Amino acid sequence: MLDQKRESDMAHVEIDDISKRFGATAALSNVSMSVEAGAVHGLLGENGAGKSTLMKVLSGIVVPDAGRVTVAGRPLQLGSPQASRDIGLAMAYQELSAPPNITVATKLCLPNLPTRFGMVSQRELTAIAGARLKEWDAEHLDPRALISDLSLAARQEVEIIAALSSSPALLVLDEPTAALPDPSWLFRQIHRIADTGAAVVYISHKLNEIKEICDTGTVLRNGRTVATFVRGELSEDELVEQMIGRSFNHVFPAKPEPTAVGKVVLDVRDLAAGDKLDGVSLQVRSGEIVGVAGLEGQGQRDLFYALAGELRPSAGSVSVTGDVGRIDFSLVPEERKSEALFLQMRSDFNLTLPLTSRFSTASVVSRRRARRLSEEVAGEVNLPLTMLSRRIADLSGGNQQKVVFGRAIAQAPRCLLLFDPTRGVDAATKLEIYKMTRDFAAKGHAVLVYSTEIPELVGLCDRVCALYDGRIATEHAADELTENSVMRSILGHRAEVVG
Amino acid sequence: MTSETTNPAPASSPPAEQPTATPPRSQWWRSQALVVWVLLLLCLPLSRLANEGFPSVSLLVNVAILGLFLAVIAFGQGLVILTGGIDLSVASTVALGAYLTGSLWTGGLPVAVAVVAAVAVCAAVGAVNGLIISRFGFPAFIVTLAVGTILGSVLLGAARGAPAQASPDSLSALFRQDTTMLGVPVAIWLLVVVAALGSFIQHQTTLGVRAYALGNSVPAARNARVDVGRTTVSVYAVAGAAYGLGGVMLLGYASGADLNVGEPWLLPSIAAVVVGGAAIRGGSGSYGGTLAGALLLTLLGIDISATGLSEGYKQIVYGAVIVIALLGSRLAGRRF
Amino acid sequence: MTLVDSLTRRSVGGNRESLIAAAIFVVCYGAVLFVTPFERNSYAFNNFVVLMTPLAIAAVGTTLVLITGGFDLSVAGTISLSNVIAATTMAEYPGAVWLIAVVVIAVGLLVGLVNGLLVVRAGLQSLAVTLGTFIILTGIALIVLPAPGGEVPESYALALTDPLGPVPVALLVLLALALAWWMFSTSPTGVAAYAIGADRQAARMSGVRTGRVEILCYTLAGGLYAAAGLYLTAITASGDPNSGRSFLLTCFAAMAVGLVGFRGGSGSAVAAMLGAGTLIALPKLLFAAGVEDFWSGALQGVVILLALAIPFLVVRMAQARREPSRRRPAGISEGRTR
Repeated sequence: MLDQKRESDMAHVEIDDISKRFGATAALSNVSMSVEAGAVHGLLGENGAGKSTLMKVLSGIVVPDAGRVTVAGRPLQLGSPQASRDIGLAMAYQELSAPPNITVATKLCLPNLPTRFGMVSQRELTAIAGARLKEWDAEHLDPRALISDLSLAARQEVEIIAALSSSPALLVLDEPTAALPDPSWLFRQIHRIADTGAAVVYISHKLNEIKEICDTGTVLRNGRTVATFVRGELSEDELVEQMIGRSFNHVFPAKPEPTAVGKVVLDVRDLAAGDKLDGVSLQVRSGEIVGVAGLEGQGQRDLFYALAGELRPSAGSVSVTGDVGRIDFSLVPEERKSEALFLQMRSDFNLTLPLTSRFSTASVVSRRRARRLSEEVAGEVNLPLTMLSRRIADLSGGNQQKVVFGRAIAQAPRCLLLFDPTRGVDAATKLEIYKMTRDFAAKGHAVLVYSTEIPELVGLCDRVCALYDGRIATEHAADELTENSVMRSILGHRAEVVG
Repeated sequence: MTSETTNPAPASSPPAEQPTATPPRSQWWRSQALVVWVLLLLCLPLSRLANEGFPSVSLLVNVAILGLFLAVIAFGQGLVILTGGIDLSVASTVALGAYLTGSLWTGGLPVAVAVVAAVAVCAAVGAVNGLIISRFGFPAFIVTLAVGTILGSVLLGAARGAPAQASPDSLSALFRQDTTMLGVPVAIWLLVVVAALGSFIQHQTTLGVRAYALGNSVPAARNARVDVGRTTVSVYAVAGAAYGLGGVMLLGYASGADLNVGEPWLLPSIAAVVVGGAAIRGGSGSYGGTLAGALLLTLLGIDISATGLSEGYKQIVYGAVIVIALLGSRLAGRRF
Repeated sequence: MTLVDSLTRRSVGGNRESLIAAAIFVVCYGAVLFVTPFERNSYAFNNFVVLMTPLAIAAVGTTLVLITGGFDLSVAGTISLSNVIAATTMAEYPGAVWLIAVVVIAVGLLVGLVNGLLVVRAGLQSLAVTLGTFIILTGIALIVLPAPGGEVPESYALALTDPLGPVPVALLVLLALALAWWMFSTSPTGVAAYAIGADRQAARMSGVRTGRVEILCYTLAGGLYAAAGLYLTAITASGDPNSGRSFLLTCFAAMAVGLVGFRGGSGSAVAAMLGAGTLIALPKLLFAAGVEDFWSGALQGVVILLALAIPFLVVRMAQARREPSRRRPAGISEGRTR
């Protein structure tokens, strides 16, 4: 049950002048924020603006160089996860924090597991977890299920409920709807917890959600607070302007006329692969950028990875035509840190690895030719040459993504596969990536791109296919290519069924 | 906002216990390999503490010759560790190299042919390791342990009755201190060749490049069109060849070898790699470091023996060097 | 629930692995009993259990560490050290034998604590640093007893190796250890250890005191190695500074046969104990079948590889069962996208 006694410690959170440097970079500079008890306070900012670092300071994982935090008048001892927990902080992390080999019940009760004679009492554990799931309107989840068996949406729900159940004085939600198809459940629970007097910090880059749920908010940019607002005070455009430091009109490169598009390059028929992809047909023509839209887990990952050759298809056919000497596909994968980057190596290594045949003879590597090639590829993606000899782990997210992108283009594919290519990338680099994508397509090649951001797909692509339940539900082009119609398609409202 | 801004903590990274500050690339002098070379050079005059006569030419020659075996064997282990694996079949593969060379030569083959054949068979054993690991995804630790045990057992069976092999005269001659070329013992020339060849393979070939890729991230390697299976098999095969070559050399050096010849080399091979600065998780390190580690450990071993201290003290120092090297590496801010 | 269902459904505490390891052991030991008439008496049974006990105890320790995701190579060094300390001091003070045993275990706990601190507080990689401590411990053992020797009062040796009526003392020790493991693995600390092995970061974010739990595991493991060394001393009734050496690889082999996951976060020490039993039974099997003893290594290696294949095949079976409606080409879909 919600801990009513906390009402007397009306949670009032004051974050004062927090600064933190990592090496040469100032992740946070004199950041201040106030959250009233019972209020939902939004925290906005680009990737790299400092939101995550601020949250790590609050949760005690990172010690700031300067600054104070007070919760309900009591100072928070910084740098101690235990102290943060004791003072009533609960966090639902963006990278979900449940080890895969425990049960839902265990996750909901950690770190205080009920015991009998020293051993965890499964009965009590399940009962407590069941009560918590009921409390927060999530009885469809099975407390005895293993985390690893849950869908991403279910894991996100568990993450949030675990935080809600701890009767927090301060609840921090980091991108809580990333995997949830419908945020209304979450918003109901947020209202309930706010009614008990808890302060809620809501981190999201989805402006429509911020508008709906947040009473007040702060915008961070480059580690500094650049704006605070109350509900309704700033328009979406103004918010974005604060986030990226300039207006964002005309972000996307111009699209060519439909007649400028050429022959079919990629022809997919009834492709099935992995667990989710159930029979997809689509075509991409030369010069075209085709987008794939879909909620989490509709088969998009299976589609892209099957095309890229990393997953064996179980049915269907794929044919690719193009110039001689070009490979069929190259893929910019979903998570560069774990799937694309060689983190301990330098950027030039990362840029040119697939191209060893171009700078080696008879298995012997020529450093000189490798260097020249890396400079060439860096030039293609506008990566400063000084970055080449640095460890790739030291580069910003945007530059890292450029390396992955450059590597993909340099392999000379007939069809470029981009899976969420601007995730974790700052605004300026996003623009560059859009432009590079369009330039690549304009050379007569094909591009297939998946993104979780509908506006991005609508702005960048010539056509968008909505993926639902492993199949293409609808295709949107020209006048039908709008955010609203695409959004409705991926939610399952089908105007027409295609393939 | 220019694209020059670097931000070492992007939003999607997991929380870190320590700040993710890393030294800029120009601090090459903080490389562990270099530190170990410096230590090695410092320990040479310091050997005087162990023995009045040190340092001497004969000390250097001894370090070079004894270090040669570890240099070869640790090269193989280092390549495997680079890809994120570990090789516990060292002992039996070394023994295989020695045994096969001896028995093939005794059976009538010319020395050179026997050596090549023996090393080739050892490479094949390594390839088996690589095949099982890449095809089934079993952990390298256990696969190489199992294969090593099987190989050891097969050798015991094959060698029944004649466990000690005699060494071809020409091979033993190579390792005598008086066999010289241009005034320097041939064994030292061998060390130079091994150093050059090892460095070349690890740092100048596409195999080496792919090994670094694998050790950093297998999914990323796949994404970058690296043939993970083929690379794994090749790496373990080359490593097997290195162990076999080590066995051949040991056969010559001791003018004979029994099946235990490989026993003393497994742990030192790992130690040399670790002391040389390679991350045991793979993806970083250099052969220069491994070589320095091998020579340093050899030198320390000789020095301690010279002091007359018992074997126990030698082991304690050996172990302490490993722990200190790890701590030093950690202090220099390297992440594993 | 069908057999295949229960085999393919994962469980954290490793009950499934224990069952399979038990089956493997029963098959191997059963074969020994079947082929060798003179093994089928309580005296031979006692000998067998006594023989497998040191390895079983040590394997519990290495499993404890492996569950948290670490590799503890110092097992061999601690066993050697315990062995030589016991063999030298027990000879001098035959009256204080059990006190010495307690001290030896304390030494083992201390060694484990040092390992834990080096891995957790200093942040050093477990395989590399325990290699270092293993070598240091061997060195200390060599200083205490440079060559095999020492002796042990017969009362001590017999107390541990003789049967208590029809039941081997060794068996009681193993059963007690299995019980202790069951209690540990279902305790909050045990659950924490499994979570740490699966995803240390996530465990920490969930409120688990990962540092404390890991240090505890290394410390307890050290104590277990010392206990294994003490038991070994009772068997050999003498000291040898290299006595622990053979345990280095066989402990990991026992864990492999016991289907302990080498990536951490899963497995059961009871299964590892059964794996130890299997490894000890195999040479007997060969001997009974008249095969020359040098083949025992080959057989052990093959059994290890087969044991590795079991989870691999189980996963394949689970994949195949999950998609009965899909048309499958000749090869099975890889599905390994992460």
